[in-house]
Amino acid sequence: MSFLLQQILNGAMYGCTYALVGIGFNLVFGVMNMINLAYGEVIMAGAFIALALVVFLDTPLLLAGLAAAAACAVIGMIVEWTCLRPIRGAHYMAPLLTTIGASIILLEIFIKIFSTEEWLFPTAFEFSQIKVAGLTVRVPYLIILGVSLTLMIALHFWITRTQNGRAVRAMAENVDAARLMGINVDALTSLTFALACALGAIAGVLIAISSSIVSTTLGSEMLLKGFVVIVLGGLGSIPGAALGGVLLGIVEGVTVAYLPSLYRDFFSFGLLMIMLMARPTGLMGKRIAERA
Amino acid sequence: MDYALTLLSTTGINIILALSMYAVMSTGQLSLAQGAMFGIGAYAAAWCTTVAGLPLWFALPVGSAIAALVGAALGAVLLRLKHFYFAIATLAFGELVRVFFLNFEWTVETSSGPIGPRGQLGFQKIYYLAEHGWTVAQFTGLVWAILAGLFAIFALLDVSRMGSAFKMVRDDEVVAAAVGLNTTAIKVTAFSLGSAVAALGGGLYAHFATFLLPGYFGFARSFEALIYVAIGGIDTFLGAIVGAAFLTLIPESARIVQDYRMIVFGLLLILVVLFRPRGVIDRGTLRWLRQLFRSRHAPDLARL
Repeated sequence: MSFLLQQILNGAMYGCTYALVGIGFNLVFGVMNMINLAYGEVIMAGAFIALALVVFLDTPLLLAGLAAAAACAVIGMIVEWTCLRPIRGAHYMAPLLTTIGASIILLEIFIKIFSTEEWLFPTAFEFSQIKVAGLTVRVPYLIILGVSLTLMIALHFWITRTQNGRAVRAMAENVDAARLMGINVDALTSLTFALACALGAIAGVLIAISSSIVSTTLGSEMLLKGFVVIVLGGLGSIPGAALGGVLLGIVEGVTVAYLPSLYRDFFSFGLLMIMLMARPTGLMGKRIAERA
Repeated sequence: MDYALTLLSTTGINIILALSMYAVMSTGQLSLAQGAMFGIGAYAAAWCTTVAGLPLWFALPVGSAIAALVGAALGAVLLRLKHFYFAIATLAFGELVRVFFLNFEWTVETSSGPIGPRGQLGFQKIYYLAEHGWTVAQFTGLVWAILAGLFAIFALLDVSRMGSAFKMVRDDEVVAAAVGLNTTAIKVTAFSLGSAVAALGGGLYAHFATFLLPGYFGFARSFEALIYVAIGGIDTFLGAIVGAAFLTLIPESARIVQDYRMIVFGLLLILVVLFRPRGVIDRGTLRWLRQLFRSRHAPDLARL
């Protein structure tokens, strides 16, 4: 029993990274009603930028993480500016295609720089753990939990309490009406996109810290996880993404504990398809039906 | 000579993959399962010729038929979903297939060791062509003969009622439904057709490559098919053919493009969507080609 509990705890903590990925996806979907397929590679970029800073320049981890987030925010703004702004309001396929283009370019650039090999991400606390009430908690997981919760609370505060957050919610309701109310839609879209990419970068760094390995396949992996999370939680719903991420983490943790690790992905993709068929609006999505 | 023929075969197989994507996109749906269907065809055809000892002309249609059935079943379930919900669902299906092949083992013992799909090791030793004395030229001929057949099918489809129905569903589903078309059935048909075509390409690829790795059939392969069609053009199947041929041959002709192949593809994709959203070969290009053809005959007509 305590073994199962341990797996659920680990899964839930690790799942916080998935939650961040899903939140980034849904922020963009909520505001722009489109999916950013380059998001996975932005996450990969974040992990590698932090890795390069830590390994080659001996930057402290915290600083490297912040720099990665900032760099990815810039990458995100460039992607938004080149791939999405010019085709706003086009056919639903157009943004999917341009962001696929961006993702291919990003992936290839990082493959050229870092090759397709696995890189070690050294941290001082990789193997440290603490014991609480009979359960073991890895320190990297504690960091994931702490950082993710802080970010989620900050984001929640930003969206519900600040002027910009209110404007973002207005845009999610109706972009045209928001523009008529004097909201600077272009600037806010850019900001939201940059914010989502910064969240993704931090998720990438957290994953790198916890697995202590980074490779260029991280992007496609996270893209797929992100899809599972947003479909589970509901497209466009930020609390849904948080819930979906933690759920996916638990499902993975438990399946890996009892089945060969190759089945992990089978479960998560199976879950995605079943969810899409049974409840396409996700656990917490509401407005999706009218949008689809 | 062999290099040129190998390149021709690769081009032919890529064109088939692009046509499979076009079939689905001609009803306005975006499928990211084409790579997986390609893989299903590859595994099925390879299994038929190596393990079951069936001839190639029988193995290819078997792979196609299996993928068509899978496509019809999947389409019937998933095509209730719209737009990127369908795209995401097909992406998940594609990954399921990839993970399935990663775990799939079904080998038989032969004098030269075990043959068949072996999980992560993939499907090795598909030596049907060598064992039956096929030359590269013969195989290339087969690829292009099949392509010619597909060309005829797509050209017929283009002028048939079915093809018009596909386009109507693409342009406006509500109107299509209002004039009495069964839009779901039409989309399922197109998806099933696309799956069968992709599997045909996969069957050819399996015998051409002589080994299969599950990782090759992930969503990167579907993205590639999508790029061929998006750059070539989504108005007509000629766009898919031109796109796939161009993007396969260009990297071969210039070393610098070869090295940065994917970056070039990515840039081209973005530029085409931004500045020529219907692709390089759109309705305007077709009209222009037709006029070019007519004007050459115009003086003769004038004399009459």
